[in-house]
Amino acid sequence: MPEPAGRRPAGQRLILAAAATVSLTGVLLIGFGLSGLLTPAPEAAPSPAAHKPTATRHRVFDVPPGHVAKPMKAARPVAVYIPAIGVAAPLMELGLDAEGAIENPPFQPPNLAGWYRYGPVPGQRGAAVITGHLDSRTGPAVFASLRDVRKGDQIQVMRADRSVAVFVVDKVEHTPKRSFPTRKVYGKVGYPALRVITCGGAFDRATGSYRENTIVYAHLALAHYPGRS
Amino acid sequence: MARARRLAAAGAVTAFTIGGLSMAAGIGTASADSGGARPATAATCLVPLLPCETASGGHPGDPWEPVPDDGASGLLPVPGDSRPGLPIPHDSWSSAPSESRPSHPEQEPPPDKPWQPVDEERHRWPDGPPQTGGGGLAPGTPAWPFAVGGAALLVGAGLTGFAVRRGRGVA
Repeated sequence: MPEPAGRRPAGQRLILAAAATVSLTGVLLIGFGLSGLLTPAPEAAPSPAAHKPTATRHRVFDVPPGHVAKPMKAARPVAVYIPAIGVAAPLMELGLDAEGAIENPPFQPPNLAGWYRYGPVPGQRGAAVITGHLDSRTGPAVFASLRDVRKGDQIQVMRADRSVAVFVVDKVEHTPKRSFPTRKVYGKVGYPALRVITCGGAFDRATGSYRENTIVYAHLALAHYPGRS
Repeated sequence: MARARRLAAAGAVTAFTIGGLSMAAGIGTASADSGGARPATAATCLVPLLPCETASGGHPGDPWEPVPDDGASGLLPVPGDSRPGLPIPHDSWSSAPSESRPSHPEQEPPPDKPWQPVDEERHRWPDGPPQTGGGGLAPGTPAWPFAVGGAALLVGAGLTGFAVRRGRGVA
């Protein structure tokens, strides 16, 4: 039986449909490749501390669960320790750059973090902020393993008055940078809190930055004053 | 002649497809991988910790007094500093580092101006998220989407051409 005039045979339509599907798939794949959506996130890498936490190197304080300590007096933070991921790094002060964004620690040395000075000091009432690089241009940096921190882990901030603010992690978030939760991170809270931030997600080579932030939320669980009985 | 053209076109499509699949499989491509890179600078805070001391909290009337922060006491752990007296969280501070160590020039305020926290009135929120990555751990852009996508486009073009020729033949 002949095909009606103006109509293509069924076999030809099927081939054209297959061609369109295959071509569309190709265009989508190339588009995803160009946009970096198919670029995998970086593998977890050891931080520059590069040491597995051991009983002798990193001990955690004995902290009652759920306890929120009273605020500490202000003292200059000098170092941060996260025993669960082997972080032991000095702290520098971070201010604001010319565009009003938070300053970053330098890439070198990689084992360096910073605390945001236009906010509460770690241990004081309010949300103190510590940031550090996930990686440099050539390798891992201080918070390369921050995403491996879990609820209940300790973050210890040593201060220049020789006291130690011991924070306990409440939660870890991974948020896109385009929807960074500024209010949640920097907003006022009625207790001593800490936010530790680094980059995460896939790396966008077009902009030269990662697409996400890893944010660790913690509360002060213990104010440690050495030598005091 | 027509048969030769068809043969040439089929050969080209086959070659492109095989080439694309080979790229997708990683055959014959080279890529830089910094995943195993390690920084030259290691942590300096590796002194074994002393046993934990129990704290009594910062309640009023507490006899504990902080050590005066003269801002240049040299307590700041400097990266690359291998001095043995680096303070650590559980340290009993009986072996506190010497005050005579050189201080960090970028961190320490002048001796006549002790460190002070920024007043709460001057607290402000930064604009935008922290940009804390250089991309050293990021894997390179994968080649397989381009290879497979290109091969798919070629197959699609070939199928379209085949369908058109088939249609002409029917007509």
